[in-house]
Amino acid sequence: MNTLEIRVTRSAGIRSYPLALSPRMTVLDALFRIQSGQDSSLAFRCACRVGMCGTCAMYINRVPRLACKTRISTLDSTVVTIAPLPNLPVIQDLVVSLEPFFKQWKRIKPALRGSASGELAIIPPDPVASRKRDCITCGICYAACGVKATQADYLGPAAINKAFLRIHDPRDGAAHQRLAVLNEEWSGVWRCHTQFSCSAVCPKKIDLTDTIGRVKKSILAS
Amino acid sequence: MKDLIRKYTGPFSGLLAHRIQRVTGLLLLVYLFLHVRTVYALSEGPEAFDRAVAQFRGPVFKMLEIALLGAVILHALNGVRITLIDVGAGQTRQSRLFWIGTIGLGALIFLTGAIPLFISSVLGR
Repeated sequence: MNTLEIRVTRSAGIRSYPLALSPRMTVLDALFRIQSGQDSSLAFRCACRVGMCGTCAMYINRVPRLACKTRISTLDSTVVTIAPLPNLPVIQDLVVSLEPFFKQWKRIKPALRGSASGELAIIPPDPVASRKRDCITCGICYAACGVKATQADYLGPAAINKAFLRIHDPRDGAAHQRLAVLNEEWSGVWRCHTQFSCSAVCPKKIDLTDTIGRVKKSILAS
Repeated sequence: MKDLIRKYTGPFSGLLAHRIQRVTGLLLLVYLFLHVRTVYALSEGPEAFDRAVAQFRGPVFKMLEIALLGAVILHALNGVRITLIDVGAGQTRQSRLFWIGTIGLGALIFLTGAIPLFISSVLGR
């Protein structure tokens, strides 16, 4: 059995914990073992443990990932570094506040605003949109985004993806308001530098850069 | 500063392409100033221009000239990749476009130009 070094960036500084690697062990399992066996003060957040809720998002070996879905054996390293998600304020150890993320999320008016026609909408099957509906609002794309690192007002990939789904919903009656927010010079889609980091890290494999490109086209078409 | 470093760190091909575009862009800007300054020497007479050009005849500048060729090729090919992505043609194949279109094709074009340049300018054959 291999011994690992788990290096955690905590509020008080970096702490290292030796840990025996067991087969199929995930990063979340490792954190639970440290918490129960070595350091009960270690703070981290999790809920579903099956990659559904997005609560356990962390910066693992310099890539934002879900701790519950990241097997340590796949990291190919005897040293595993775990830090809180970048671009978000740290509350304690590995726990971050998602408040800035949801502040941007609210700006695009995420709730469906029905059109005034009163008629029942016929929603045609849309394979592109259906692939983009799986967002679990984990904040991983927001943490990986290079633009977000230096542009605090930028909407971020997840909010833009949500806006895209609303705009392309035939029942929606607020597309123009959303497009106005998306078209803002310093915080809208035009800030995206097409680095593809958000698409590379999304645990649900949503091609967020593609979404941003589609929103740009929608703005130009409108 | 920490945020700026974070903006450019990550093991993703798209981010690497972005970094290359920025660095080569800055290098080309430096070259542009140098080029304009040298051409400006023409206004000071033929002797001044000859003096300005003579500075670039050393082997160090010849090597920099080869590096310039590399920077131009990378910047241009990555620019084509970005344009393709912007028009929606290479969105899902961006990583392949980068490794094959920018790096692979770029290396091929670079070697085609750099080898004769190195033989004639640096080795003097």
